[in-house]
Amino acid sequence: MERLLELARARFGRAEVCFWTANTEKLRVENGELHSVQAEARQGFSLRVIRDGRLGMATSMDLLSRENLLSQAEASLAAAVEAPEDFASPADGAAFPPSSSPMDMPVGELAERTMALRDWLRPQVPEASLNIFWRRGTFRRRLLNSNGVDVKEDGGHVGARVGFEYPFGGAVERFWSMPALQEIPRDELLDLIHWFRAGLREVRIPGGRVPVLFPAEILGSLIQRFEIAANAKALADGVSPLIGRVGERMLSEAFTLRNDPHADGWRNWRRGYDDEGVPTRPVPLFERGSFQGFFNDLLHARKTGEGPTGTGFRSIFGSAVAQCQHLTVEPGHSSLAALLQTPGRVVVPWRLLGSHSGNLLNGDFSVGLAPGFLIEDGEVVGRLSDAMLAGNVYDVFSRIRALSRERFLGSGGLFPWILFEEMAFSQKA
Amino acid sequence: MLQHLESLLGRVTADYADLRFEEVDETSITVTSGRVMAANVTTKRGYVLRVLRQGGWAEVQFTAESDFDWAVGQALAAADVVARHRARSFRMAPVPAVRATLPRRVQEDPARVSLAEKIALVQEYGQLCGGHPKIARTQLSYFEQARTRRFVNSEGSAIEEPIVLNRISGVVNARDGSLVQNASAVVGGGQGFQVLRGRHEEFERLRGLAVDLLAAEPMTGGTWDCVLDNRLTGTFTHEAFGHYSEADIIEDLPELRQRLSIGARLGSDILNVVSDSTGSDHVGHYVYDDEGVRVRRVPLIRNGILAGRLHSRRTAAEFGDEPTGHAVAEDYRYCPIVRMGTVFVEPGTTPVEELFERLGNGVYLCGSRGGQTAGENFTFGAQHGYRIRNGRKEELVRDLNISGNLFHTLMNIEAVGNDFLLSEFGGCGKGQTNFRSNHGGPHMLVRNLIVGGRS
Repeated sequence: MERLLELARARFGRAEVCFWTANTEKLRVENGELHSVQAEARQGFSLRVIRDGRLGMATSMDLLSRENLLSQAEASLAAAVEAPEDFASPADGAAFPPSSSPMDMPVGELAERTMALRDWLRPQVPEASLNIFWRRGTFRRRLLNSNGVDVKEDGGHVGARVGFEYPFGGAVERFWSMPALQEIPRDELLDLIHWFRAGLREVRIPGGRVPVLFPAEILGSLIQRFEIAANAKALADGVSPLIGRVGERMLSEAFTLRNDPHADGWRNWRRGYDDEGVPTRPVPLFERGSFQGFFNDLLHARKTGEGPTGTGFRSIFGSAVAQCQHLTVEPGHSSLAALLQTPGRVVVPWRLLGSHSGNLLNGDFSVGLAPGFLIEDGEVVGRLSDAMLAGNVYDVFSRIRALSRERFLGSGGLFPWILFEEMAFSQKA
Repeated sequence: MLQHLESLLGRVTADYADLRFEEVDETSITVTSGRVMAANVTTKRGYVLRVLRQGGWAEVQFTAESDFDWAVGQALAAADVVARHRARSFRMAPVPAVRATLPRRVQEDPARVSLAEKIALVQEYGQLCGGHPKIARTQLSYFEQARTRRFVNSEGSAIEEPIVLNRISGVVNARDGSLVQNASAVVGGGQGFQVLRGRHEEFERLRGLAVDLLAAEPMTGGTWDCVLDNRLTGTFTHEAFGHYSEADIIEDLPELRQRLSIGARLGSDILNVVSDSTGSDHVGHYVYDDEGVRVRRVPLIRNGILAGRLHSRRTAAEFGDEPTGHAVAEDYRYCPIVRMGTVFVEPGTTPVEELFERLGNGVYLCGSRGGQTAGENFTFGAQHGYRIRNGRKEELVRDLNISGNLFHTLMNIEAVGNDFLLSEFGGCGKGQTNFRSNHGGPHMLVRNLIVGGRS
């Protein structure tokens, strides 16, 4: 890599070389049977260069031909792709060395433990199709650039998902992210079983506006709309609904959203640098309901005249884009148990359908529940099918009744459960 | 190359093994409001090894041939682990060995079109979408993928099949204060670059639609009678039923599998749904799937009755059916899973104008924003709609997401139009994105759809 960088610097002036390798293993139990084991080994190199305000790029699976990479990068400059001012400058970033290797346990032992878990669970949910999924892996990244940045990050990750699928389809599932291979907490599995059983009864309620208790694991589907709007690209392109609103209190004072790659809750997913070699740091998006500003990558830092926020991410074969990979919502003051005892009628969506479609930039959502649950005076009375929730995040997040003090790492972020005053609910009669 | 892959595979001691090697050339261009934001040309490659030993199944993906021996060790060890813990062995339905090298099937090869010309075409279409004070951004993208798939297995199959796809997609954002609306379009296919030329009309209409949506009323949620346009019929079919035709979705769901037995009634007599990737004139076309099985036309619903399923070799053995050639992987990074090919509702006999007369009062849903399926429930989004009163198209409405249930909603299809249109590009995200899962059909009249919206 050093040699490639040297050649690229001599030819182009400003250059950046990246390397990435990852090994992953997945073990899958479907309907109570060990279905398969998959392993993956991947790697790639990329070269980015800047000349005369243009960005050139080349990628490869290996470094067998440096000259090919250099020629590709040269050819790509003709496309006149907009470039950042420069590549990242050297700066100290946080270090998060992995605490253990997730690959130490042989796959045979992982399978034994998983089947023992299966044997414990199956008698408790005979009606369910039981699915267990493990994913573990290690990665290594290195980035060098002509400014003297030399960043290496090694990491590992373990995730598990347990799901109880209803005979008619749809499932109650939960995801766990772990610093190392460890037991899935039995009390949390028992809680999941409780929800599954409650969902064996189907219930219907009239349409209208209802309070909704959003689980942490799916909250990212709504929060994603804030992320899209707070992206500096949306600012630079003139399409963000947040333009001109920095400092304005738009949402509930109970709501604080940051991108925080250093938070303990992220465990092995913490990052000291982004994929452009910029040190990461907590980036506030909403503080007590007030919009704080936009996050960027190096290109959009230049275009908006702001300093880089350490949120430039990319695949080895793609361009850097601004992304919040560590969204974090500050916890509230209510226990989850207390929220689940909310008097009256409350809808709990467990899984959403269609959250990726619609007018995300505007903050709209209209999602199917697959499933959803109905709580009445603290009791989960049944499953809501053929039902939808709709609204706009700028409206619903301005009327938050409570947040749980417990937080969970789900898809999209580190979030509490949130009780919203109301959303529009529709269900087939 | 096929011979070399066969010699590698010969080093694997298993009851069955296959090795797929792919080289993938991709070009992606993004132009935002006339400025080139990305123009990437990449070549990637990788291998997928699958083994079956003593009834245990394992899969390994790797990018370097130097990792082959590692991959074999991993695969065999993993297969042994699986075999130890399974009550039932994996089985694969038998298929004949195939030895074939297929030609590259394009009229105007995109590889011969310069990057500069591709950028110029995207910019030309982008200019058509802008030029209005309320248009805040135009974002057009070009994507091209040329895959050369090489597949060998321990049964003697050796197949090389290239697949070339390209598309131009565009999203136009209109803005009025803090209200933002968008309209999108996509053109493309697998027949060559020529399908992208002369498509100005598709992109020019986006400007007017995006601006009009700023003034449109949000939809009122509830149960509505609807006419779906061709694109939405395709999405509806894909989400409402298509995934349930994939045998791996229902194989472990006993109640759903029982209710979806061949011969079950799912819709009225007028409903006929087919999966057909054999035709070479659309993006979904291929000859052999990623298990070396020739794809065939599969009637899925005939006169409202469930008539067929889509299979891999493994699910075909599980169900006691013939393999259908629908084991497909996105590219070298993935193992094949059961995927829909080109799925569509066959045209009916009702003139489109009559659908609106019969609708009376309701909503005309247009354009697709994708969808999702879980269990027997599904949802899909429309780009925009029109209120219909007394059979006449009236005001534009927006924010339309529709929800339904497999067993109720198909029965609510009251009439099928006599027109027909297929989408030009696919994009099903069942764990991996399959660009060749496209869909379409005629206009359809559907009663009692749940539409999310303000109450």
